[in-house]
Amino acid sequence: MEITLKNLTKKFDDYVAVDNLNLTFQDGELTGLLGPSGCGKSTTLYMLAGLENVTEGEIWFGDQDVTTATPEVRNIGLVFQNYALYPHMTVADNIAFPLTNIKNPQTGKRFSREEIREEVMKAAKLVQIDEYMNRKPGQLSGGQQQRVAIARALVKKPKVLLLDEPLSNLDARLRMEMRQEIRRIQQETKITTVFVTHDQEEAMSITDRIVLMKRGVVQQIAPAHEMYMDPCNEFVASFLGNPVISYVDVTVHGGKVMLKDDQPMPLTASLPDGSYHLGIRPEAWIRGDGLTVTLHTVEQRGQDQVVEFELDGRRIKALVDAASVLSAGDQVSFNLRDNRCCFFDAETGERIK
Amino acid sequence: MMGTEKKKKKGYKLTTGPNRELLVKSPKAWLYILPPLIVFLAFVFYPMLSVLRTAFYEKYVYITSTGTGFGLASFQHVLKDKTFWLACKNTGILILVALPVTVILSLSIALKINSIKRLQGFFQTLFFTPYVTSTVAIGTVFYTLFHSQHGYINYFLSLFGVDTINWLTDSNTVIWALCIFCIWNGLAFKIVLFLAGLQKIDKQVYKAAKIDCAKPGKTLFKITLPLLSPTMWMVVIVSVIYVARTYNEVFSLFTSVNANTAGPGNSAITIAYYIYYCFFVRNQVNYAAAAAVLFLLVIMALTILQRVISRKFVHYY
Repeated sequence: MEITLKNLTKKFDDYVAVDNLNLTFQDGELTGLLGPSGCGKSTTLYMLAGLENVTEGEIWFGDQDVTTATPEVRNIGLVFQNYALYPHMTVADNIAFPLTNIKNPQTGKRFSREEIREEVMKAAKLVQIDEYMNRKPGQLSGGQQQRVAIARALVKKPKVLLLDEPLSNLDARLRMEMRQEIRRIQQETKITTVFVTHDQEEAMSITDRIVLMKRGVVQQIAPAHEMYMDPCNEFVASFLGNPVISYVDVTVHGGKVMLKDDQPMPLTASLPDGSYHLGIRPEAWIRGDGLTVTLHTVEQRGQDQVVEFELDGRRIKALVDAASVLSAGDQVSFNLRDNRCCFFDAETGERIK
Repeated sequence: MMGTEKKKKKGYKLTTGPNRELLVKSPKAWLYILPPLIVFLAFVFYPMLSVLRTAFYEKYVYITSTGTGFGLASFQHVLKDKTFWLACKNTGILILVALPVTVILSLSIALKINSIKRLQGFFQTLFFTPYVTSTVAIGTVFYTLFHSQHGYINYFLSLFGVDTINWLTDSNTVIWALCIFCIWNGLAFKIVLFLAGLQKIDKQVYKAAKIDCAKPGKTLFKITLPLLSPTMWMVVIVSVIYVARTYNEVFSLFTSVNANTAGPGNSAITIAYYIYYCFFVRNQVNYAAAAAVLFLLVIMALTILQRVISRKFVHYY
């Protein structure tokens, strides 16, 4: 089911948490709501869930206006950041709880015990937690609790699955594993999913589409690769990618790109003459003969090395393959790949193409 | 040789406990537990032994702490005393009627206070004030409220056409006056305990229940109350013993007027008051002691019963 937000706004007293949001979550897609803390992504999710009132605007589930609907009529599943499992119930009872509150949409009657047992087992098998049905949440690891939370969210076959930073309480290895699990479950169930996260890597690795927000305002909506390759402003460019993108002030004159001290950059641009911010992804630098710099620091990462040098008073990070080991103080010459460089307006930070 | 001498100098010995844990044995440990131990021995253990001893004398002189005749005569006397059985019955009524009513009332008030958003602190303070007020002072107020001619309670009931009730002077109604007083007097502390228990429950769980389409009644019985059961259990344990010992309430409501009897013909007597009555009014110290021993046995039995029940219904998590 497609979800449409129309002019959605949320104010807490004078503070605008979500500002005039217009966007569509595509049917059957996994959409990532990404942004730094305080950007309004969780507030947006809670408004979708009906746990938070809408100040202005509308929320549409398909062709149904649910702006003022209570959570129970929205038919959604929500996985909380801390899972919010019922600590006094067993895993089986936790997963069964939603079914004891609703009617079977097929028969129009309450779910019978057999039906509940069957559905709970199905959901538990889907998230691979069926061995622990009689445990209480306190006896499970973080990853297992999270699986239970997902099973509980999915058992009533909701039209929408909402996940609020579901991986932030897990350790690094488990986080990698669980995000693949979430992807698998989403693809198996084909359920429209909204996934809130502040981790760009998490969002890039599993989502079909990313909505990047900043201070309540949507910056860009695009699939991960497009957003990385084609950011619409400096904020988006800076938010995605690790190591982060570096910036220098440049002037363009007759297609040539020059630093402030007229040092030429190994790059051409078909832009009108003037001053710009040049954003350079770390992997844009390739060994060549264009620009010679002295390395400040070198960080070995195994498969590659991150080097840092100064350009026009700014620290620049570059990725160099691990073929030849570099060390601080080395003189290295680079060329630039122009498809990994973006020009931004020096004043507004907007992308200039 | 050298080794053993060194060990002596250290002043402690290392041994292994039954679960292979390391135990340090040192006489210094006694120093640490001495202060509370002295208090316990002087004010709990010695009086208990002394009561036990007194209970088995047939005659006992309090001033000289001497008794004559050793046996079960005091117990026999107490068990034959009608007043003792009346005290048992009244205490039973307090535990079986007043206590459940207080628990349910305080729980409902706590749930209400917990659900309001504005003025929560104000209401918390308001409902806690009775706890820090002296029972005797409250008793005086209740005495005026219960007054058959000038009391507000009878005035209020008369608005509904109820005839004058002699709350404090009719031997059939005094126990109910005492119940009402105990119910009101017990509310404050329980409300505070329940509020603390409620506030410990993770708010996210209620949001999850909303997402899971649970209706408010179901959320209360399937989520809030089970999660509150450790608190409820604690409240019940504390209250059963507190109510069983009811004395202040009786004293402040009746004794000040009826000169040492708990209502007309001791009709509102409780076990704790019976012990006081035997000791200070009738000067039958050995009977008071025997009643105290019997009382202790009953309390122990109640506690064991509670433990059995708790295993079934209390969810610790």
